[in-house]
Amino acid sequence: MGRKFRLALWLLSRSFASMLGIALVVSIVTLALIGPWIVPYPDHVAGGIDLANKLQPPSAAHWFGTDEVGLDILTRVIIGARVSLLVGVAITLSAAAIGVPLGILAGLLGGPVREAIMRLTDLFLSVPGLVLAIALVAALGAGIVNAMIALILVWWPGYVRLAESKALSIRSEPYIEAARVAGASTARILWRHVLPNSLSPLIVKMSMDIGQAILAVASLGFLGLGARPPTPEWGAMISIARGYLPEWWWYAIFPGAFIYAAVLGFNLLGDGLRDILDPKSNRG
Amino acid sequence: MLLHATGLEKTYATRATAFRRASRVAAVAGVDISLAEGGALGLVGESGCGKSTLARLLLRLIPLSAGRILFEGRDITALPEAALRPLRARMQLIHQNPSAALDPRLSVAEVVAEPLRIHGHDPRGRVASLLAEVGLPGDFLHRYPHELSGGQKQRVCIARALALAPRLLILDEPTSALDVSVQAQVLELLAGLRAQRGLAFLFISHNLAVVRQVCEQVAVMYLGRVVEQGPVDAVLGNPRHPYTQALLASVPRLGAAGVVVVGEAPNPAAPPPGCPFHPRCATAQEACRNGPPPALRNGVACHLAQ
Amino acid sequence: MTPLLAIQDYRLAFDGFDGTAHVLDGIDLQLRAGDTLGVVGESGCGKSVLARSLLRLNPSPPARVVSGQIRFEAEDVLAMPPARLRALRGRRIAMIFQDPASHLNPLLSIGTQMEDAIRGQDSATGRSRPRHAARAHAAALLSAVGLGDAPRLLASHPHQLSGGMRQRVLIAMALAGDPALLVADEPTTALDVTVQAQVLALIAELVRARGLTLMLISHDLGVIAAACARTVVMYAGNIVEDAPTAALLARPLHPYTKGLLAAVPELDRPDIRPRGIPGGIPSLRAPPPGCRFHPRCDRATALCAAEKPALREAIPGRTVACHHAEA
Repeated sequence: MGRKFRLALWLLSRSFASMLGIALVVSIVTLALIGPWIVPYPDHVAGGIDLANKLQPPSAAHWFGTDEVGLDILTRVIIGARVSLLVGVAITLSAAAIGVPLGILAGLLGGPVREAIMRLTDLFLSVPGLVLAIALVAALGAGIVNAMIALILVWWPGYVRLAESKALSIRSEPYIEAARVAGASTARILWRHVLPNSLSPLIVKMSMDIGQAILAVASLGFLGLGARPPTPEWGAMISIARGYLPEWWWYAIFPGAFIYAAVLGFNLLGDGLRDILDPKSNRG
Repeated sequence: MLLHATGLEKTYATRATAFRRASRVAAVAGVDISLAEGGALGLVGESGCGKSTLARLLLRLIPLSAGRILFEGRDITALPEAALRPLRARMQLIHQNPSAALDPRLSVAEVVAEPLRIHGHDPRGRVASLLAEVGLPGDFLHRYPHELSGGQKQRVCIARALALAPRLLILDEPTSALDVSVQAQVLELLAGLRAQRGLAFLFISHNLAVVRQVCEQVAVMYLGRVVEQGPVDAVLGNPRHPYTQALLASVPRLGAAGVVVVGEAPNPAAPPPGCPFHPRCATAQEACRNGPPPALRNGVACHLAQ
Repeated sequence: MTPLLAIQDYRLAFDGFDGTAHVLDGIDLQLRAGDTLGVVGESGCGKSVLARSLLRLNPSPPARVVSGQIRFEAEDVLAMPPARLRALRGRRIAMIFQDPASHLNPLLSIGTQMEDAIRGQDSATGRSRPRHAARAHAAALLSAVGLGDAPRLLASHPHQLSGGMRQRVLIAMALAGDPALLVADEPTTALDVTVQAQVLALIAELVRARGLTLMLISHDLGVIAAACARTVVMYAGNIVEDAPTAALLARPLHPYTKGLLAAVPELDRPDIRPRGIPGGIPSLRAPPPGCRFHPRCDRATALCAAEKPALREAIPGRTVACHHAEA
């Protein structure tokens, strides 16, 4: 195990992009974890009004400035990391939990089961994801929980596709035939051989999807369909800040920069993971 | 008879597309195979002749189009998968490419224990002795496939196949992915195991010299049919079918170039009429071109050799 | 006479996480025009890496030239600028590979691919030739490799051809630049034995008719015996024996060559049981000291573990790298 870990580090360290991805993701996760204890103005998290300090430019007291009701933007951006990360991870995990079992079943069993699953998947994939999500939120009502439900509903088909193609290629591997010759049942083959060997590309996709989900939630927030103020959500913050551009630029810039950093970080991490998890690069 | 199969057929239907009509490809076209307890039958032929398909038919890994298979005297032709599972313990398969036949995520110990667990046996203690039997020391238990050489991986595959004490081993080109110096080691190991355990071998290979070393009987396949069958020394020492003669003549010998035979095996989707070998046969006559494909009689399927 | 190809103390390493693999460990080899050389050895012996080195086809990184020289027609291949290298590839040295299917583009017709190869060679030599002339030349090349009905063949796509035909097409394309040296890396390994015999006969015929120099890489001594007058045996990155093929087969000098010959089952001699060589190929990251074969050798002594044997002339015309090979 020690060797594997060192090999992973070595592969990552060869790529500046992967290292940057890790640095960004680790920083954002750290901020999300310890946020409530390090923010300079903890009482600004839940909202409130301090009109005397509204729209202050960045200063020693307010590193990122303040917003239109005088709340500290640094505080709200840090707490926003918590919201975005939680929502991004929850969406990705739920979508994978729905999509992966369906995809592996489709790939392994084939026939009418596969047809049914894949056509349903096609149905969902034929509508642009964000548009479908907007329609769903419009039907369910705006709010962060409904935004998450809508995004999970548009997200799972991607996992079906990936898991199915992976299961399909693994199904024809001789070691699956060897398991059948040994008398293994379909369930055992699935659990012991197909699933563990399909994980690598799924993990890569999940890493990249967390970034995309953060972006999607921010988009819904921006459109007023996701988190509502005063919840400190990056998209919702930009939505309001838009009205204060370009004069009060710091209001939009800092939440925007955090969205950018988070999405970039998870994408680069995904690329790095692909290199590590590729069994070919294991030969070193 | 340990294994007795008659009239085995496997046809694949290719689906019609916008550019191609649907057709039927006969990968195996009427093959009889018999293998006695402890016997060794070689199955030789070039790629696409149907020898690997035949192996998978016999193991019931792919559905039969026609024919009947008796294993240990029992008709397994129509057994459902669940009823087949306990029988699988006694008929095992060794693949050509040991690297692909091992799950990359399982250690050697897990690989060899897997069949024991599936059949409800306690693998403890058995795994190490199985590895010892195939010549691998105990410190291999916790290694992973990518840490092993090709020969070592094939030994692990053999240990896995032996775990359930099979009576029949179907070996699909077991040494063709290995280096010659390692091939000889693995063949020695297989010969020893066969003698000790009284195993029967169905040994598939394109390498005639290896088959001659390992087997007592041999069947030569061409385009889904057995064209010649008999004791190895008779068939490979004194071939009667023109195809067997061509095959033997083509093998490059140390010190002498092979003899060149014209043409290549035809596409099984569009087999020639008459004897399937006639377009390449130097002695083909009218009957070979237009008559029905010759049946296997007295060990040879040729209009002229009978 | 200067040799066509001269390799001197060539060392190549592959850098990786687990350390550096010393894949070629001081290769000395000379080829005169018209030679037919077979390179035989088992997987990992470096024979394919050596073949690719002639055209600098080993990707770097991980490959790294540690030392040595490769001179082709007296020109230093390792120091060639890219333009010279392109002119060398295909025009002076052509190469064919094990798997003909993966060396043809499945989307393009044979005709298009051959014309591209011909015109590519033309542009490297500063010639220009209209498309129909290139097509006529392609047809001539196809007939040179024994493929008739050129118009139909040129219009077809790779998947419509059999394995043997694809390899013939690749040989025809290799001839497009009228090369001096043909490097064939396991050219018949993916083919059936009857087709293998045909392709080997074709290669032998082309060598004779065109005065080609041949370097044939194979794991199969039988294949090499069919096409090559001279053979070098490689083991773990070293040339261990270099001899006329007939002499090598009749009387191998190096213990590894002996082991290799004893391991090959002979079709006509079923009474002789092939014997394997005990042990396996050593790790090239931590090769054994001294002679790399000594851990598997039944004649190894303390000297073999201490000192790497140099290639020396044991019998006139034959060299061997072994402390104990007697003349």
